[in-house]
Amino acid sequence: MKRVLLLGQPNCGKSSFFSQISGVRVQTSNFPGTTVKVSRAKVVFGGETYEVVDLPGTYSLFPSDEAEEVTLKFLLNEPYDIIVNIMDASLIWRSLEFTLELAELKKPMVLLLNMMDEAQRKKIKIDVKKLSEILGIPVIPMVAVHGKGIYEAVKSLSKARVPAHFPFTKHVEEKVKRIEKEAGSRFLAVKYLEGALPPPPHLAARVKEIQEELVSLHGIPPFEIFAAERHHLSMKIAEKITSQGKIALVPGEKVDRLLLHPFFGYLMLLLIFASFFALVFWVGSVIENLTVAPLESLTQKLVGLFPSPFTKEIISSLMDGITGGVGIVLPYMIPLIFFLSFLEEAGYLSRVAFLTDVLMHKIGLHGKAIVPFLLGYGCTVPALMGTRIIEDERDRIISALLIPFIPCSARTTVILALVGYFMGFWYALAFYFANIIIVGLVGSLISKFKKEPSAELIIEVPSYKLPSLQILFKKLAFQVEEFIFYAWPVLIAGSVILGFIHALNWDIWISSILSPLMKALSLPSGLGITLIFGFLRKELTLIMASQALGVEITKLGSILSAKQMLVFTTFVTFYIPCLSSISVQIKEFGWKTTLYSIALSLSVAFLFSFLVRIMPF
Amino acid sequence: MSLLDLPIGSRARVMDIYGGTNSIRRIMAMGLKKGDEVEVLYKAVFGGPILVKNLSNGSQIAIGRGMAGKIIVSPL
Repeated sequence: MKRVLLLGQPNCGKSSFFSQISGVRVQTSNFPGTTVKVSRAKVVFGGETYEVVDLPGTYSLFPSDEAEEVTLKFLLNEPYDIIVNIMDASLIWRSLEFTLELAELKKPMVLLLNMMDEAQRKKIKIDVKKLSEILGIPVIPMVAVHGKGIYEAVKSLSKARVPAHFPFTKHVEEKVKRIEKEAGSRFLAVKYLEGALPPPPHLAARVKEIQEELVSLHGIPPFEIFAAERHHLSMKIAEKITSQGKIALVPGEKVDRLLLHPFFGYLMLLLIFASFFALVFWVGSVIENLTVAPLESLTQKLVGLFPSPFTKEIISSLMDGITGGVGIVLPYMIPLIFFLSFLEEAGYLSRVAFLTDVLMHKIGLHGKAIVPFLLGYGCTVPALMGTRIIEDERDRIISALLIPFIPCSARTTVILALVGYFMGFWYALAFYFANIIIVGLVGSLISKFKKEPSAELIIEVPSYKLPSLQILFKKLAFQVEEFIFYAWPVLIAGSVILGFIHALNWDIWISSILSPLMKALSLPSGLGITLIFGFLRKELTLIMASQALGVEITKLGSILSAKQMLVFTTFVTFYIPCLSSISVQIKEFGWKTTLYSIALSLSVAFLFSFLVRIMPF
Repeated sequence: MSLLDLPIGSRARVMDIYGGTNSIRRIMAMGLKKGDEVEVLYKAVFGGPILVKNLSNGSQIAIGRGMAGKIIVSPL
């Protein structure tokens, strides 16, 4: 079996190609760097089996964030046979530099020119045959989203060749040669001299010496020298194979006149998201009524079949767990993920980063961080993982502390059920608004403690694309699958455990421990136990509340006053990241940050729910 | 003069890029280099980032104001 690595710059359509050849569910995106996971697939073609590895998109092999580091580490430490370099053909002048960097690895290579339709629209003509001759490797034109050129691309794997040698300027080349042998390869020699990798101890002194020579000769840092060398080489190649020097109007530039307008751009941003959430609110409740009600009546029937009250309790809580999952996934999670994926694939999310950069600076972050925050409305777990696209460690930690405050779909069900259903749509909307303001307040407070200035926004704004439905559905299936196999079982198990506790009458002493807190918030002490299970999974809260208070969810209004519901919802929204979020926090950020996050969320939850309690209304 | 001083819609040639090595590397890797011709497309309000189009290779990059101030240009 041959191992094939897919490498390319962000937005080059690498993951589209991967999902085309593999049929495997893989997360792809038009937002630079969301593919942080390494996906693999087996492809059998022409009697040969290939293991295809989709590596995170990277602008160069000099990593500046974690996603890019994954790629370089993989190249250095893992065995592989073939490099498949995918590029956005409409950005060939820039992308060739990365191709030349890959060529330094001296491994069998294939170049796939993706998005040829986009290049055509921009009136860029590429002489594919000549490019193949110059590079010494197969070059295949392709439109991956439409499946064009996929067959030829896979076929070309058997013809992969080690690329031609592209020497740098004489004196730079000579310096690379000087340590090439000791470094082990030309690639490593260049990486050491560039400063992308720390040299091994026995080479450190010589590398430093050569770097100083280079700096004194050029007056610029080593990495700039090598970047300029590759730039120069790729321009020379581009001149020979492309027939246009200047770019025609980029498709979608007219759309940007509205969407990036200093006033209308923000208006559109608000409109897009507000109308989406309103749609989810209305459509979601219709779907919920259609799916949850039959399940509930089924529960009633099932419970009726069993004579003993104990079994009744267990069966009913088991069914509640199942119903709870349906109530989250169908009405809220699916539309949200679909919508965000659409915006991401279409290229709008980078524009959102551009527009919101100023606001994000107020909480000590920059615009790029908006994306994990938006993901947070779906589920906190992928949102925390999504912080890997943020280059700065300080920014990542601030995001890790703030993201748990964003109401995920599980908490959305609580907010919509308690505040939306019993108090009205506008209260729910106001609740979301207040949530954003509180996140902003807490964020600016944290950034007061973490004073170092935030890194500047530097982000590519790709041209708009019509997302392919296939990729949107694959992405949706991928995330929903994670929920179904990872979260739902815990939800059902948690519900059953609570059923046991209830049937055995253990909830009384658990509630008594939490009763001082409940008293302070003037909530029924029976609700205390729901907080424990809300920690296991936030979506348990609602079912648990109805179980603990002994009424159906729709009849909670007879037990709780409007104000109590608001206090309870506020506390539940902020109080603690759920168990799976905490485990991700520990893995990604360590114990210290996680403990901070728990302490912070408990205090914020108590403070604001207490404020709601003493608010006169 | 820097990118910041260019009005929207104007074109200029990049003469030099200052700043932290990390930022310079990112900008260069995204395809903005000395000698490139750029056009300022948009400036976000309240001191937000600037969106420039690199006329030499067709890429578009949004750059925070602080960094944009460190990109020295000469108007065309």
